Amino acid sequence: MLEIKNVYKSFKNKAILNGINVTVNDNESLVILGKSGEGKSVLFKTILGLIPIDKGDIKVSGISVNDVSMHCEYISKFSMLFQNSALFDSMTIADNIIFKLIEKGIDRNIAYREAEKTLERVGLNKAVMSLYPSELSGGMQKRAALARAIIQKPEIILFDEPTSGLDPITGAMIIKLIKNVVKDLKITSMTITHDINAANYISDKIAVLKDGKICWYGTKSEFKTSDDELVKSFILSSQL
Amino acid sequence: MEKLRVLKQVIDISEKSFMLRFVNLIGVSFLGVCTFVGNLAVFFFNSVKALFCKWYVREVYHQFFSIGFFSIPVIAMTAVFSGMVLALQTYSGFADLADESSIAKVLAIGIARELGPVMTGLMFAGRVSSSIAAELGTMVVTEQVDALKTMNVNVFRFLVAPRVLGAVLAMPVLIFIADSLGVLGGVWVSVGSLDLSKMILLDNIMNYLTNFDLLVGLVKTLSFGVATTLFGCYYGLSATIGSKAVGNATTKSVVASCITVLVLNYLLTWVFF
Repeated sequence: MLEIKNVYKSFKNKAILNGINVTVNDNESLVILGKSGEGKSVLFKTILGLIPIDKGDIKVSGISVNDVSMHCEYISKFSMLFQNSALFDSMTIADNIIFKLIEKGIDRNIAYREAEKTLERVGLNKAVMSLYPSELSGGMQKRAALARAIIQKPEIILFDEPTSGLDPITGAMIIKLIKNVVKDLKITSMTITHDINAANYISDKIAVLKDGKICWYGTKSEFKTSDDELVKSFILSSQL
Repeated sequence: MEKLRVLKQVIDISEKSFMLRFVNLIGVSFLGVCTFVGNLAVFFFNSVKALFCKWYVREVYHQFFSIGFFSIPVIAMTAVFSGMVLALQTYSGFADLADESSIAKVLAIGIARELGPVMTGLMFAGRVSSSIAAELGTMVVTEQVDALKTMNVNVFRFLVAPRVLGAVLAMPVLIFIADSLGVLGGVWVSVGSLDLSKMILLDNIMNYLTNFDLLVGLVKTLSFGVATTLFGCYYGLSATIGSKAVGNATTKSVVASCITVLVLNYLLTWVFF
């Protein structure tokens, strides 16, 4: 379970996160919606401990992000699919995927076999293993990055705008893949997206971020019937 | 009179305002310098600490080739032409004193102790420091560094230490090439254009050149290599968001590295004088 309690973060006296409170239960999929510049990516970075929070606490299975002595254990519970995939461009796809396994001391041959299976799960052929990220299309890069994220067997995966930069068809395929993988592997997930259809498809719960606060929170059926002006404007924008 | 009094008051206020801005500028600059020095010290400390952790051997090997092997052409060219120029300039000075044999001494000591290390350091700063800053800056901008951190990988161990170790391994090879080609360039001009005896020249060079001269050159080159690599890593990893940030990081790393090479050269020359 991921608990975000009263989190504050400012940059140069400008409040970005202004008392965020949200809980993501085990095996639950939470989608965060919000306009650009509302601090969605900052929230993810604070969850991962990449940006220190000013006030509040974030806990995973009782381990706090503020507890420096437990940082290794805390961070090992997460994986993240970055907006631009963030594959290491000096490494082949295979080396990208097995990187964390090698770090853990797993034998390279075993790690390669595991990578082959994981690539198959995300719909990629093992022929891509010897290629470099720049040799793949955007959709394939996302799949490879997803393979890198799930091979680590995390408790929680964070998806930062998974359809960003993809055409609608590839985007829909990635969203479908994410939903299947998350449900199959029973992983808790948090997703940032602007895509309302994607949010409706993959979420169990939806939270709307405004002025650094969660201004709306509920299930996707509640989201569709909400009277909240901001929620309505999001739904309306998806129908344009 | 009233107008004059008002004008005087306005001038007083603007003077005070100028003074305030001036003091503010000094304060901000001082704080900026302190922050920079503090950040640099923490970065260097973490980098040195990472050198004593388990190494990513594959990365060190890769960096050794990337840093060392691909620097050979530019450093070789610089060394050859520096040696040739040194021979010509020395001849024009010593010919008047009827002391042409001193060309060998100047050539050997000049290249082994000064020109070889400094030219290698400057070329290294231009080629390697900039490339490291651009590569790491791009990794920051494209969130690859964040991806490493989410995998709980120590960035200093994985990105900085292999580059520093690569430079430490590459520098002795590069200075050997620079010294050899520099001397050969000088000898070639001396024999071909100045009609000096090749055998006497080489004999004098071997007599004048001591192990200490070579050691001084090696220490200097190693220091330049480590410093410029660290500056490249520092500015690369300090890059903020945007492609302009990568450009800025590259420029800053080259400027800082070149200045550091020259300052370190003076300090080390003073130490070994």
